[in-house]
Amino acid sequence: MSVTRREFLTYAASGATVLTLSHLLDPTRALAASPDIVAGMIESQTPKSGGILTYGQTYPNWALGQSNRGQHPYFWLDLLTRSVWNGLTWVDEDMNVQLDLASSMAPSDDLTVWDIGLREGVMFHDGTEMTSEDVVSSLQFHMLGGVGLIRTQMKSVEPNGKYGVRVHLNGANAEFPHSLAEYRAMILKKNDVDTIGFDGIGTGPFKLVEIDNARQFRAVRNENYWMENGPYLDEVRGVLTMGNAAINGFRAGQLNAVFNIDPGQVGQFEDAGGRTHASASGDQFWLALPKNLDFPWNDKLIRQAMSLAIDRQKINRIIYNDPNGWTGNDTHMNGVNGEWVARPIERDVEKARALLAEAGYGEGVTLPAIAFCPSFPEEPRVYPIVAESLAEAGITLEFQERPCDGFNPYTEAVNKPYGRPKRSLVGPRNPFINLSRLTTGNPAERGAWEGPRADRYGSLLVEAVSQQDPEARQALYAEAQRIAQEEVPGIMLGGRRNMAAHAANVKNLRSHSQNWSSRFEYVWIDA
Amino acid sequence: MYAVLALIVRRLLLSGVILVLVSGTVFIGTEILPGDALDATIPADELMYYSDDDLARMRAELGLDKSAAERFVNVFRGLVTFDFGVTLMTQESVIDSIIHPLLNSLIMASVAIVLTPLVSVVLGVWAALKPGGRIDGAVSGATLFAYSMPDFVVGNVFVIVFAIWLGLAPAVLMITESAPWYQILAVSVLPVLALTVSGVAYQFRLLRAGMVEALGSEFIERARLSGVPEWRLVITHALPAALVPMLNGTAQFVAGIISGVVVIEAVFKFPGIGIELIRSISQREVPTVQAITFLAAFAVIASNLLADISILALDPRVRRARNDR
Repeated sequence: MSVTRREFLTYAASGATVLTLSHLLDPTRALAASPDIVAGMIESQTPKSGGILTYGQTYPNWALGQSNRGQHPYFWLDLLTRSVWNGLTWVDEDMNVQLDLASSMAPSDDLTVWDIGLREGVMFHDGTEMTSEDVVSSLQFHMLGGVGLIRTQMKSVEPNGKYGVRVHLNGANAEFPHSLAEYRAMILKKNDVDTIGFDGIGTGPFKLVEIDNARQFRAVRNENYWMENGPYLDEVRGVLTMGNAAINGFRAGQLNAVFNIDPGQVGQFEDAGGRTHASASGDQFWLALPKNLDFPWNDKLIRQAMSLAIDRQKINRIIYNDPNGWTGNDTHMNGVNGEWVARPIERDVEKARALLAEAGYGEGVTLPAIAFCPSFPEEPRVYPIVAESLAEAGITLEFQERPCDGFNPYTEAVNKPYGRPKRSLVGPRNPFINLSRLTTGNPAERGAWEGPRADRYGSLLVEAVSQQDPEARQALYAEAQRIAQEEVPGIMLGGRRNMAAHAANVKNLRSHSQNWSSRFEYVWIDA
Repeated sequence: MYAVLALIVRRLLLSGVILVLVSGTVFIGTEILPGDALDATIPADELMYYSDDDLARMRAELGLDKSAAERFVNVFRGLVTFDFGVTLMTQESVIDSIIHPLLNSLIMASVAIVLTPLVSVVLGVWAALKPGGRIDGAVSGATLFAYSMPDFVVGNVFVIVFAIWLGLAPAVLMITESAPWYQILAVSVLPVLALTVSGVAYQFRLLRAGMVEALGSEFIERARLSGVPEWRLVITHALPAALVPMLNGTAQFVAGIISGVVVIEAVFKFPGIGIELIRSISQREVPTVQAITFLAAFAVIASNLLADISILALDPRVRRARNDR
């Protein structure tokens, strides 16, 4: 099918509710889009300037232990890099991609080249203007591997005038703007690859003043911020608060907000005068099952039995107090995705037992242990429910807790490139990125899933992301999900929501399904 | 005098020997047992994930392909010259990565070490003035209760009472690792208090027992009959005699404070060496674990040496015993 660029723009616009990329593809609409991020939020409010937001964070950057250079966005204290930096795009709470430092994005007819217009007059914290040279330098740096999606998808980038860049992709990608919204894909001041980003200078709403890599940071308002409205706060401080430090700090009045609170402590935060906010979704736990060694779950029947036996609704009920929440569908798709397809059967222990018997394990089976690290406060309470519900079907599975610092090197140190059986953290993203996590570019989570069905799954994604028509794309994504549900390459528990708490006088602070996409421009404090 | 000097020299030499043994123990604990460091991190049921090439590569990376003797010499030479090498993960100097936490913990521990005997002496003297009285009973009961409380419980209770209920101290220590000493000192109030609780309880009991014994002894009775005022009896005669067993307790407290620091720092999120030790153990940062363990042992040996010298200075009976030999 041959589609012109004009036709594509028309299709994309008509499919805005599905992928909502239309405004990105139309520069005249795009220019107005980003300021709306703030304008929409403060509508009918009278924001006040001033005050200090001191937030606690229970979920540190997973890469924290790998560097002592915390002023770099890759090793930022938490993943909320948008306090100091901006990306070219941003994903809003409805999972729609929005323009950030980009003023427009337009693809070629074959979706392999994207022209990106840049916002003019955006200043870095040191007073220099952001131009295409900075953007090219940043993207080239991210292509070295720091941002896996950019490394995988981009072939090259070149300046296109002072306020524009042209990106060449390795293949057609209708959803490429989403990849530029990753938490590491921040725009940095031009520099060589060894030093870029280590100056802690961004274009974001707050200027970094002080950081202790493993503890806290302090940033003050950027008076020259490019958005029309905000930031309103004088200062933002973030501090890692694991264990009871979060609720203690909140009760003591030291913290006026906490991101990623323990859902079991919602009542305590509210008793302390806090307001809590749960996003529509959040980071999820994927059980990666390497299938290259002699494990029982190499047999698809065992994996199907596991998926049928796990009581995901019990997790939602007990851990998240959310009995009607969505449950994982054994892909990286998220309940907040419009393209999400539910598993046909939620839970069936008898069928799980029958599958085990068919696989030759009528007396039950013991599986290799799965390693996890307690990234989120409630996580250690999730796995006992999983293990108990598996045991009902005769499946013995142990979960081994490991420290989060160094967890990735630990799980990846052996059995390359698949690593140990582990739980992998999955942030919600657009369908192509989500589903691509089970393709050959990601051996650990795919875990040596091979065969004609796996090949078909991969080709469906390539076909989908090359599609101009969002509805056709959705149909292909649905087919891919059904294949994964039949094959069960790994298991998605699902249902988790990110939750934040804040003092009553803190306005507009919200938890975002994409943890790292939380923003601070529109947060203000009613004195 | 010669005998006392000889004793100090002997103690210094003995400390050197202990340091060598400590280095050996640290080496064995972190690199040798059970089998080698690689075996220690790989349970038998996990060996299926490793190919022979994996194991060989990891052994070479950890330097385990060299002989144990060769590795010990390297580790020992590094430890005794305070050259702790570089971290495995970030390849930065170990001493650079731990120097700020180390100094922060030293500040906190030093205050606790000074404060603990002072508070113990005040309470001990106060209680011993009237053994069996109401004050003695109250202080003895309170210290017995405090002594039985684990450090992490004391720390959490302090956070709830002083930070959350009374708002007198921060619940979360919001301070950078490299903050100046006076800022570290300012946020150390609650951790120091929590750290001193068990020490005060223990040392108080030693001092009180010593005071009661001294005040009931013949030499005090003679002094009392000769008209020496009671306060002078207590301060100048009974207290020095009662201090000797307490000083031994202080030396033990210094040894114990290192484990106490780990717990208290974890409760308060104090940017000190205890947090660093927990982090390096969880990251399997063997050079950092070796450095911290060695420095902790060094501190214990030094404090014991100091306590011995103090006892020599305070107690003429010990000096006489040495000279008589």
